[in-house]
Amino acid sequence: MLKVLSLMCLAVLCLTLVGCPPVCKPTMARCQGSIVQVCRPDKKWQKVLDCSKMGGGKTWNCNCDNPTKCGCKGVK
Amino acid sequence: MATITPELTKEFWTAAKVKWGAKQSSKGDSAFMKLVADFLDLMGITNKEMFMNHFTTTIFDTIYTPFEIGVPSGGYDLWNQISICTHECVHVVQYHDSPVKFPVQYLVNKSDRTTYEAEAYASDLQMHYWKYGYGYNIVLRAEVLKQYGLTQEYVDYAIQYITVYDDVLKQGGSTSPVAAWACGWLQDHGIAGAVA
Repeated sequence: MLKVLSLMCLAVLCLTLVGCPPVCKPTMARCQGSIVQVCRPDKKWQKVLDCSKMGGGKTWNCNCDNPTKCGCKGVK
Repeated sequence: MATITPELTKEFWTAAKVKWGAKQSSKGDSAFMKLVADFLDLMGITNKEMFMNHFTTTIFDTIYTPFEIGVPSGGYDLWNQISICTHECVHVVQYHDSPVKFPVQYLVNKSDRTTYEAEAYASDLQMHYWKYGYGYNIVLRAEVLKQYGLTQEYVDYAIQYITVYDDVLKQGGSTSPVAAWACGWLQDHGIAGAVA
């Protein structure tokens, strides 16, 4: 019982600190650090690209325009 | 600048096989491929006639072609033979990365099958940018997945996946190691792309 309560408290604390994790619904996208992920039809997050490895003489970051549109943005 | 010749196409295939650990065989000569065609037809993944005569197929590390390398035929001109070699080498890399998971998941999990194909289509996209200076029509290309037993929701997922690559390529980035190698090889052999 104590263990369950501790886990619940931890979950509440985490949600308070970082907000609710985005639920995976097809068409959604998100950034996990430098990694672009999109939600698959089976509702699992799929890594698409690691923006830190794009090259081309630019610095690349993962960036979301909206909940369905995330990608790598390069800056010279 | 040189043009793509039958000899150069053969050389490209030979170099790609060495680089990515692939083998190549003629589809029409393979009794195994005929069995696979029956199986995929039965599973509802793809039509037997289409599979045998129009699709280049990779099983494990072997690429089965419906054309003779260096001989343009059946929708495979020399550029398409180079481009499809690159596409199939992506699947060979996927196989080498996960020799058990890749073939199993490709068959049984439609989201995985879409992901594997979308990654290879994204490699084709980089080749297309290099040769022509612009990308192909992503929606039309993703529609081809319907011939792989996949429905519209998987096509939509593939479009979203490939578009992430497209955005990077438009900004001058490089997304596919296999495509980057192929474009470099062609350039080293005097073939000019639209993108230097």
